[in-house]
Amino acid sequence: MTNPLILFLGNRILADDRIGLNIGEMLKGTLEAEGRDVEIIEESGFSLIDYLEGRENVTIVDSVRTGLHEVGEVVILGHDDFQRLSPFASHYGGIPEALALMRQLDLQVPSTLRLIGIEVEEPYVVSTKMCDKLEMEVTRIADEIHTAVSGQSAASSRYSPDRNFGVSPG
Amino acid sequence: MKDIVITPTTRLEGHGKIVVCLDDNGDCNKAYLQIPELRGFEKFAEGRHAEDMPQITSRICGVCPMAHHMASTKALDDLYRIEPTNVAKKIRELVYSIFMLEDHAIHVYVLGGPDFIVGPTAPKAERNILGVVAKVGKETALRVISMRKTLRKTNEMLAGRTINPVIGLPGGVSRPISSSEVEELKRIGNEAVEFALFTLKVFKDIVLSKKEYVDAIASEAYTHRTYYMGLVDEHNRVNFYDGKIRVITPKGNEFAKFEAHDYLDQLAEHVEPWTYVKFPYLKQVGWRGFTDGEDNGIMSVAPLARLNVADGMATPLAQESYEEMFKVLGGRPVHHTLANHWARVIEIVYAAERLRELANDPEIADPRIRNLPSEVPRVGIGVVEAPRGTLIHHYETDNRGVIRKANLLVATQHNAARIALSVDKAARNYVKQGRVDQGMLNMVEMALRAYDPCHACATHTYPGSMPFTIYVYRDGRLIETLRREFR
Repeated sequence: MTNPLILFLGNRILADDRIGLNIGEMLKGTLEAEGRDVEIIEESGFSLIDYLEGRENVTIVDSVRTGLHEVGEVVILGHDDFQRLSPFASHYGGIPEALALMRQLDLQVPSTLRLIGIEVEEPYVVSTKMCDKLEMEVTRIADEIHTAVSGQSAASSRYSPDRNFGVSPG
Repeated sequence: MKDIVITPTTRLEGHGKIVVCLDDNGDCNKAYLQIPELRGFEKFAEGRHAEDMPQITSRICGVCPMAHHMASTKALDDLYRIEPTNVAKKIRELVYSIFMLEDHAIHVYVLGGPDFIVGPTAPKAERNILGVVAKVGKETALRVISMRKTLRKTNEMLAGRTINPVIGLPGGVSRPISSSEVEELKRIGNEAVEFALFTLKVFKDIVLSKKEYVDAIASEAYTHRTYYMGLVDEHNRVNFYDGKIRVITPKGNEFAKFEAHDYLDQLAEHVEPWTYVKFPYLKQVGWRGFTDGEDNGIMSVAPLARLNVADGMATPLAQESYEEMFKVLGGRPVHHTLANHWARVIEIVYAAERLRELANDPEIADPRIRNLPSEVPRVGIGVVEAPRGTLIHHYETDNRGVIRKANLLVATQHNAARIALSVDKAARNYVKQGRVDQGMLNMVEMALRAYDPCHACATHTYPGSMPFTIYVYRDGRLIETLRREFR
């Protein structure tokens, strides 16, 4: 039985897109002490197979820009959102295809896979600074992510945290 | 008149839009590729310390971070006028060969390969990695995934990180290779060569054995007689990491051979109002618009260009394949754009052989990995062959090493004019009498994918970054605007 894995994604030079990395660095020690594995990475698409393979429980934390939520809002995303949201954040684009490939090759896919999004303002401009709202609320966002990862739903969401992707192995 | 817009082009890095304009008979009378994004990365670099550039530039692109890292590192060598130690150069080339092998393999099996392996006229839903698996079999697919994983882990070991490496320093590298790692590298080198030869066999069995595929490669629709450019070593053989930039004419004669430092004497950039991509061309020949031939300075880079400009390959198995390709396709230079796929497979063989050679080099575990810079910085220019072609980084700094001006000239820019030719020519050949089914549209995209263009690099932006807008014109009048915001 593997530890649950929390993947924090982002890009350090694309403005708000770095929020996932910042939150990951803030929570890494706490989450690892609680028995979770943490990876803070700037990778995407098929590369994520290396992290998903052989895992039973994976949570991806990433910036999203849906325009449906306030900037800084933490959103638990459901299965239907996964395909639709690929244009919002490049990092997990291709994951549905990656999962399909893993199944086709009989590689072990996570039985539980979910995405926690952080609504952002500008994730595409080359900048090392996040917007003021994210900068000011980063501690609150980290707390909410921690709560969500722990399975206690404090995040504003259309889905409850236990309504995960329900990906079946094989 | 009716316009067809293919957007976004699939299995390409970044975001492009192809516009096909039809005449009243439904035939294509003009097609072009638009890159609507601009990030102004060079501006972002101004005011930053030059030493940070290898880390910063590796984040421009999710596909070729190592290429930017290495070009940037070489620009720092030049900036501080410091020659790296011998072993540092070898370690850099070793790491770079691993990166090229992995990147090319991804293109062959995942990005461009589906066009050939699954078939150019197969339904679009099948032309993807799942279709490739169905065609080549599960065992082959697992082998590709396993090799890729091994290569990525190896570069993580050697370069600190796979995606944003930290190995390059002005004058050297950040860590030596231990003797136990050398033994592992030798094993991986052998495995890589076996994998490369296996890939060559897959390509021959599935692609070259089919007459219609070979005919497509040699088709006039995908042929442009342009200049070619690429790095060569002292014997004029292909080299990814270092050497002089060589240019040949459409007839195959050497036109120029120069150091990266002299690139501004050789290359200029043409600007069009409909795209953010600038079109580099040969200054001494001049810009004559979007046409091929000896009188126009349009040139091409990428795998086929590298093989065209070189007198041969530096490793024996790659040399055999090089000779075979030119024999089959009628001698050097080959002008068929789709031959880039074949050239890419040959470069996989070269990268694997070079990896094995360097792993077995007696000097590779030498601990003298760095010469420390002591000169006052001013101008630094570095060049490598990225998977998609020649990549130049140019920095100018104050005497503290703070960047005042940066210029990045990337492979997709070098290819931009020829890509425009390819898109237009393919569309004119395959979109006729109003027939615009998916297979035909894909033929247009195929022309593009053969170059493996990276728009994120070319506009110095990041992939998937913008919603896009479609402008539909009839008789020169804008009749509709379709905007795809985030859903």
